[in-house]
Amino acid sequence: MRRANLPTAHEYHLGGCLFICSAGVILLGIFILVLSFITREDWTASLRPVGYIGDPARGRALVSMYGCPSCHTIPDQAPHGAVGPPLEQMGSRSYIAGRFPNEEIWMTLWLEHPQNLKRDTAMPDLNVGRRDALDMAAYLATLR
Amino acid sequence: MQSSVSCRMRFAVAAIAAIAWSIIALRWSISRRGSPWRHRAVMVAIIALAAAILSIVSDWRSIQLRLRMPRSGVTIHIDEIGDWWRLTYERDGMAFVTANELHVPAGTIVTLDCRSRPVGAWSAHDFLSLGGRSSFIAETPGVDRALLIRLFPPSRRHLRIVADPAPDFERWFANELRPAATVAASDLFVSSGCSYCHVIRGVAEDPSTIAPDLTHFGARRTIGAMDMPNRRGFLSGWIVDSHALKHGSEMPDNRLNPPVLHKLVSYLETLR
Repeated sequence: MRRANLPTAHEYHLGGCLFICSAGVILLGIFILVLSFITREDWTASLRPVGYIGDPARGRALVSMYGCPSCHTIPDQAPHGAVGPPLEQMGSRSYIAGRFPNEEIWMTLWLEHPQNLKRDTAMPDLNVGRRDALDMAAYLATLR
Repeated sequence: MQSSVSCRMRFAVAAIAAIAWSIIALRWSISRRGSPWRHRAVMVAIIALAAAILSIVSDWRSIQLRLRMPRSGVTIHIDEIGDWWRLTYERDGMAFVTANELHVPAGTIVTLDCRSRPVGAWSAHDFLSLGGRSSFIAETPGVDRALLIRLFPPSRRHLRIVADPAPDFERWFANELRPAATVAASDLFVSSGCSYCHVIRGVAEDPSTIAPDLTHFGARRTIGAMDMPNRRGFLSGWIVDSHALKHGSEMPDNRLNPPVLHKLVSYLETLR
């Protein structure tokens, strides 16, 4: 027995339906892309360690620019220097330079003028500004 | 941005020789009707002509530039020593030695004299072959990094080419001729043992060619004959342990006293 007013399988407008669906999927994709672009700051903020105000993503780029990897081994950054201690687990360390607590203020001061904290250290004074030092401190704190 | 063109006149000379040979071959084959060599000679002549036309067309720009551009009179001798480049500049009887950064005046022809084995070089804009004497033109000012590859023995190196506008080049040339001033910190350079291998004109002159000339080191953009920027962090790491930064570096590790290291780095930065 055939029900009245209902189309049979071959009468469904499958093509039209697919067209509408794919347009929807594309629109949804664009929407997600736009949303993720707008909220991209929040993604880096979620990486920011507690107690640090710097931007770890910028700090990572700065670490490479100042040449830190030429003396310290840093994950995912070339080259792998062996002059100074490796910074692979810097976020988990208790002390900086064997002397100062591993906190934002000490790390920032250390990066700015190492000789001010430890007069005879071999770490060079690279004329790091306050903002750069804060960003690099935040990046180093993410290395766990 | 720079567009560097090496005048590959050798190709053009080869092309002219090929045309001459093809004309001779054609005349010879025509004079000997019925010879089995006739068809072969015609084929060879056609191939030679095609090759000649191709090479002239591909070299057209170089040939034109070579005819049109003025000559600067600068000859640069390039020596590959170990894994770095010694560059000896010569003009009007004046000469100086520098290293690793090839400065050329933009818009004029310079003569490159590569005294090491020939090497194929790729820059961002053109292929050039270094070996023996060749002409080189940088059409516009800019910085370019040429990749130099030799198949046997296999090597892969970089050469930084800096094309300055003519006045800047003159300033650079006059500055490079000048020896470095002797200051208090220059004693550190000698006492730390750097002068065993490196030369700073006016401070430590030993006519050795073991290591690059550092007379105007602070003005260079990169260190280690590679892509490493000439900044204090990289330089400190390079002096103490260059092997971590460059595989096969010939510079020994220098475990200097930290205050001496910092003073030495500051001194090297002042060598402009």
